[in-house]
Amino acid sequence: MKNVVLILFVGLLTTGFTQETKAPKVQTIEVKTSAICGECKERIENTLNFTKGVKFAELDLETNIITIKYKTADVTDVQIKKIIADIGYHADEVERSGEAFKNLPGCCQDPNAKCAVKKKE
Amino acid sequence: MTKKIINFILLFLPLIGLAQNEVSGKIVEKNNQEGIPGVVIRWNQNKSYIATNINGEFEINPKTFPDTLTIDHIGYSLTKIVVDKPMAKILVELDNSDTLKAITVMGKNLGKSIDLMSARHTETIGQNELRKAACCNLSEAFETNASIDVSITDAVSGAKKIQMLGLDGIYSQIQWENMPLVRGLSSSYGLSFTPGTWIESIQVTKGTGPVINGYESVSGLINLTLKAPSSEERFYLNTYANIFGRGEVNVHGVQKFGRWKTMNFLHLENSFMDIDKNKDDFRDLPIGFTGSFLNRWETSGENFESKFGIKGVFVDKTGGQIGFDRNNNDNSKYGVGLTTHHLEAFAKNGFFFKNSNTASLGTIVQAKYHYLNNQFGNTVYDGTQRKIYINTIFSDVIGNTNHNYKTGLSFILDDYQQSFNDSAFIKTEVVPGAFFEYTYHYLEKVTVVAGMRGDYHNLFGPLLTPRLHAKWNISPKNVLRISAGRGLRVANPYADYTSLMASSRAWVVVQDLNPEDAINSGITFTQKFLTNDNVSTFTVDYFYTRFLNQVVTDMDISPNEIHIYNAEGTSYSNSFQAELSIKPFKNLELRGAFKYYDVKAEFNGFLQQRAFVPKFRGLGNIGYSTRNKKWEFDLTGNWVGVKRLPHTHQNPIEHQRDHESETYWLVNGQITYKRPKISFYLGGENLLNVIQDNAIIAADDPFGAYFDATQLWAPITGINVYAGLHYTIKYKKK
Repeated sequence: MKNVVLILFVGLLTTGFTQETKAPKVQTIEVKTSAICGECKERIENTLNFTKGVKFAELDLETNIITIKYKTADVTDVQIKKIIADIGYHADEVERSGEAFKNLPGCCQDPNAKCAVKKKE
Repeated sequence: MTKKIINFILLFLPLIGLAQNEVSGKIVEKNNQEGIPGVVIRWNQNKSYIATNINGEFEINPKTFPDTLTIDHIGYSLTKIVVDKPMAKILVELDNSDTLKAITVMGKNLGKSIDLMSARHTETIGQNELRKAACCNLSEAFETNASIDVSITDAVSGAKKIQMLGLDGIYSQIQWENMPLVRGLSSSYGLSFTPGTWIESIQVTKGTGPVINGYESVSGLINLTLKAPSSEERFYLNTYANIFGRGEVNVHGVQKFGRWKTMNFLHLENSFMDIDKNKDDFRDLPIGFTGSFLNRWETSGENFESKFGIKGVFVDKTGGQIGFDRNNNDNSKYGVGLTTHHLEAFAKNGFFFKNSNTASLGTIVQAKYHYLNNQFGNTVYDGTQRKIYINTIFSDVIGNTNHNYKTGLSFILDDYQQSFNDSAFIKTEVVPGAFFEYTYHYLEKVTVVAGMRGDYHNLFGPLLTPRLHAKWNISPKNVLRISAGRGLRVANPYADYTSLMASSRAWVVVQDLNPEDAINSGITFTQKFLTNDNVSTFTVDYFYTRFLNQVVTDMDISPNEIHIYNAEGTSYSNSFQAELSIKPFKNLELRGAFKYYDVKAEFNGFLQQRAFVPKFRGLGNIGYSTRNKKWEFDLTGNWVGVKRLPHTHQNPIEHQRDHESETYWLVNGQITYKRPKISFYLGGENLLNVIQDNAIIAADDPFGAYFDATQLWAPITGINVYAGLHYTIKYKKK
C-alpha cells in the first residue's frame, strides 16, 4: 500500500513537472536576419504572416530583427528559421539558401542597388 | 615666416607621397568605345568620389589595396572592379543595353519633379489611403482626405462634386499625369469617369499650381497618376457590389514585349435597381451603364522615353421618376438622361541630351473628343467638345543644381458646339502660351519657385499669370510654406453647372461673361513629431482667394430663376484648416481635422455666405490594422456644419424651405481581409442613416413652376452596404 502511495505520489510529481516544462502555447521570438530593403521586408513578412501558426511577424529594418509570435503547437522556432532561410535570408545561425538568394530581385541582393525603400546605413 | 612655409610644405608631403598610389583609367561606352564624361566613381574603402572628365578619364589616389571601384551611372547597370595594385591602367566598358535603364532614367526625372514640388504644399494620396474606402471612382476617392470636400450635386443624377478652400471644384485644376482631365464639358460629371482602381496615387496641391500646367488652378491642383506599364501587376481583378444594385468589374494588366510595355484597363459598371428611400417617386440614383477603357504603352531608347495611349468612356444613365424610359417616353414622367461619349489619345515624350546630364525636354500632346447629351425633364443640354492640348517643357540647371529652370510653350484649342433647349452656342478658343519657372535651392532649407506665364486668348486677349512658391525648413522636422499667384479660367456655365438644370428655374445668363480672375495666397505650416517612434504630423493652413471677377450663379434673386453674371471684386474666400494625424502605435492611426470657410459673394445684392458651403466642417478618421496585416479596419466621420440655403420665401408655403440646413455626421467604415494574392472588403457608407427629408421641392409636380431638385445639402439614399474583392497576380521581380 505504501508503495502504491509512493508510486502515485511520484507519478503526481512527474506529471506536475512535465506540465511545468512544457513550452507555452504562444511564444514570441526575435530572429536576426540579413534583409537590406523594403522589398526584403515585404517578402519576409508576407511569407511568415501567411505561415500556419504564425500570429504576426514584423521586421525592423534598422536593427534587422524579426519579431515573430507563433503558436507552438503548429510551428517551431527551427521551422520558422528554415522558412526564412528558404526565402533567401540568414536567420540567426541558419544560413540562407544560396539558390533562393540568387532568385531574389536585384535590389534585395546588392546593398548598392537602387530600391524604393533602402535600409539606412 | 620660414617656419610657416616649412609647415606648409610638410602639410603637403603626405599628399605627394599618396600621389604615387595613383590609379588612372578611362570609362567608355561599350558599343562605340567613346569616353563617357561625368561618371561618378566611388572607392569603397575610403568612401571617396570622383567624376570622369570630358574624355571619360579619371585619376584616383586610393589609400589601401585592394579596393573596390564602384561605377553607377544613370542609364547603365552597376559595375564593380577590384583594383589590387597602384598605377593600374583601367579601361571600363559600360553596356547600356541593360533592361533596368528605363526605370533608372525615369528615376532621374521623378526625383527632379519631387524636388520642385517640395516648395508647394502637396499631399499624396497613395494606394493604402485609396483602398481605405473601396472607392468606385475619383469623386469618391477623397472621402478620407481633409483638404477636399465631397458633396452630392443634386437629387437626381447621383453625381458627386468636390470643393477646395470652400470653392467649387471647377476652380481646382484636375489633371492626370499633367494632362487636362476634368475640364470643359466634362467639368460637371468628369470626376466619375476615372475608376478608383486605375489610380496609383493622387497629388493634391492647395492654392495655385505651377505655371507649367497652365493659367487655371485657382484653389488647387489635383494630379492623378494612373497605374503604368512599368508596374508589376500582370493581372488585376476587382469586383464591387452594393445594396443599391450597383455592380462593377475592373480588370487590368501589364504585357511586356522586350522594350515595349503595354497596360490595358477595362471598367464596367451597371446599376439596375430603382432606389427611392425618401419615397418621393424619384429614383435617388440613376440606373444604367458606364464603361471605360485605357490602353497605354511605354517604351524607351538610348536618350528618350515615350508614353502614349488611348482612353474612352461611355455613359448611358437614366434617372428621374420611377417608370421613366428614355427610349419610350410619353412625356408623362419627369426623366433624367445622362449620356457621355469620350475618346482621347495622348503621347508624352521625354528626351535627354548626350552632352548634358541635367537638361531634358518633354512634350505632351493630347487630343480629345467629348460628346454629352443631358436631359432633365423638358430641359435638354447637348454639347460636343474637340480639344487639342500641346505642352513642351525644357528644363536645365543654371551653373549648378541650386538653380533650375523650366521653360516652354503650350497650345490649347477648344472647339465647343453646345445647345441648351432652343439656343445654340458655338465657341472656339485658341490659346497659345509661354512660360518660365525658376527654382532656387539654398542648402536643403529654402526653396523658392518663381514662375510667370503669358497666354494669348483669341477671345479675351493677353492673360498674364505670375506665381510664387517658397518653403523654409525652420528645423528638419517642420516646414513653413507660402504661395501667391493669379489664376484664371474661362467659364462655361452650362457645362460647369449642369446639375442645376434639375429644376424648373429659368436660366438667365449674361451675354458677355468675362474670364474668372482670382488672386490666391496662402501660408502653411507643418510640424512632424514622434510618438512612440512613429511619425505624427500637425498641419495648419490659411488661404485667401480674392476674385477680381467671378462668374456667379445666383439662386437668391428668385426661386424660379438662376442668374449667372460677372461679379467684379465682391467675391472672396477665407479658408482655414488644422489637421492632426497621430500614430500612437505602429498599426493605429488617428486623424482629425477642423475647417473654417468664410466664402462670400454678393447674391441678390447682399454680401453673404455662398449657398451650400458650410462655415465649419470636421473630419475624424481611425485606421487600425492587425500586426500581421491580415485585417484592416477603417472608420471615417465627416461632420458638416450649417449651410446657407437659397431663398425660397417667394414660393407657396408648402414649397418653402428653411434658410439654413441642419448639421450632420456622415460616417463610413470598411473592413478588409487580406490573403497573399486576394483581399476582400466589406464596407458601409452613411452608417448613421442621415437622409434629407423632402429633398426635391414640388416632387409631385415636376413640370410645374416650383419643381427644384438642386436644393440638396445632405444624402438622400441612407445606409449603403458594399462588398467586393481585389485579386492581383504580379510579375516576378528581377
